[in-house]
Amino acid sequence: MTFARQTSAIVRLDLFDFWRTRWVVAGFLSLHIADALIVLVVLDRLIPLDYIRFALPGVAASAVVLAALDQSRKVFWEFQARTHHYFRALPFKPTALVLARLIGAAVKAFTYAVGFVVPVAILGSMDLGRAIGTVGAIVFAGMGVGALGVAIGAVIREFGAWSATHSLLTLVLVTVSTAFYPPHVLEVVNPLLATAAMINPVSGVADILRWAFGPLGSTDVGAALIGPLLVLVALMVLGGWLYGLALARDR
Amino acid sequence: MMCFSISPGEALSNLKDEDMISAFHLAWFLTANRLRWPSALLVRWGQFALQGAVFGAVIAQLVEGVPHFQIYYVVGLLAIAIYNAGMLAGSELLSDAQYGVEDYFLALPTSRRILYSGRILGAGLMGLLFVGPPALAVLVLAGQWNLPVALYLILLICGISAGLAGIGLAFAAAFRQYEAFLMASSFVDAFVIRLSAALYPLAAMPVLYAAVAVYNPVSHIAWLLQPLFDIASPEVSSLGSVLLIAWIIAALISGDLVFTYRLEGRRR
Repeated sequence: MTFARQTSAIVRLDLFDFWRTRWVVAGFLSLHIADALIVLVVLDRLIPLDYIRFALPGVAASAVVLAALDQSRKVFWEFQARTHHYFRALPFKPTALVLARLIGAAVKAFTYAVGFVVPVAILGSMDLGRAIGTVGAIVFAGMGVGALGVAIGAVIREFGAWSATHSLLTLVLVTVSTAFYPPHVLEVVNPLLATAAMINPVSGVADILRWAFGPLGSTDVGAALIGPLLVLVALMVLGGWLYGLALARDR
Repeated sequence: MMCFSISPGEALSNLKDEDMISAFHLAWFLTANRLRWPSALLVRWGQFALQGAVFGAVIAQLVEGVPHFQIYYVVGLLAIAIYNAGMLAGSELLSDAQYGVEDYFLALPTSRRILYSGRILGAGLMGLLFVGPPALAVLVLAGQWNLPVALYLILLICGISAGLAGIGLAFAAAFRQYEAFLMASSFVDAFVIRLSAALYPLAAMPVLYAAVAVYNPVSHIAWLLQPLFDIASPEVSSLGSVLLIAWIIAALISGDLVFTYRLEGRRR
């Protein structure tokens, strides 16, 4: 079996497992649909900017992050049920297993979030080149955030601690970002929050979507993406390394 | 003993002291069982603090036309947390059923009504633990602290969580299958919470949304809490309190009926 086939076998497994776990998907969908259809519509009447068009990319970005972080649940329960031994017993290279987990997170994030990106594209201006750029950005962000989820699932072994970390991390990633408010407002409230939001992958995905479908221009988004990009690379290295280590140690 | 021939109101008045003690024991057992992961409490409080202190503060900078929007939003979060504490009773019931704990309860020499009362009281206790400390902290931060108000707030949290637990139990007992319940309750909760006037004033909502929000129990919880935090709430009226009480009574009765008749396949 080639490296690519080994990787794709695990990726497919993760993808099918995600869509089969219907209560998780229903939980995510209810949250994002209700936010898009109700919260944004009401806040649009209270906030003097085109808030629906501004915040809809934020909903799509949070969809990417939630679906990618769900990889944490998969990995955590594999270690709990000790089914990781099954993967270790397969004639697969450990690097294929680690890489598959990150790509699996990205594929889950993309397949889930695409339904929220389409309304952003419909409401905005369509540019094919930029739209293709967003696909790359979502996949890359999915891998990075998925790596963070994999790291949590592999390192934490107690359910209460894992559940608490996973829940709070999700909320921090979505709240301390520019998904639902412009960066200058965060700066007014607390400069530290603005700095954290600058390197947050959720901000990166939301900004890429705003660049691709409006209202952000290229000059606004270029420098803003360096921070999230570096954080995502660091997360991929760290998450992959910790997962590999957990698999090797827990023989 | 099953007692199908009498109404829930009669049954409640027939409860003896020892029955109440059994119900309290069960409530305490359920709460202690839930707190086997104390981190769940910290997560709830942490989520509340983060949403109120970060999301609330930043959105308040953007929102126009609603004075002191951050405190309005935070009180709305409290109302939502009270609703969630009540609804949690349903998911607890099905989780217990899945892991065999409910079978153990059903094997005890006690009536279904005591089991139901225990779960209702347990929901009140959970509301107190999950929502009480953040609510008191907000009362202090809002500069509205005084003992009678704090006690009234605690009473409201406990009473409404317990009352709304009837909806959660009826919903769970009607579904009986854990995954189906989780899927349905995700959608119901998400829409009930957002289609309420807890997080934004009724006047800011489109007509269609406002028409739903007027009858939403979460709106009425928020309107009941707002005066305690010195938020001028034009929506507060005696009709609102009557509606909330009607919601709670309907929740308790339907919860009792569905719980009693649907357990162990006893459908009618």
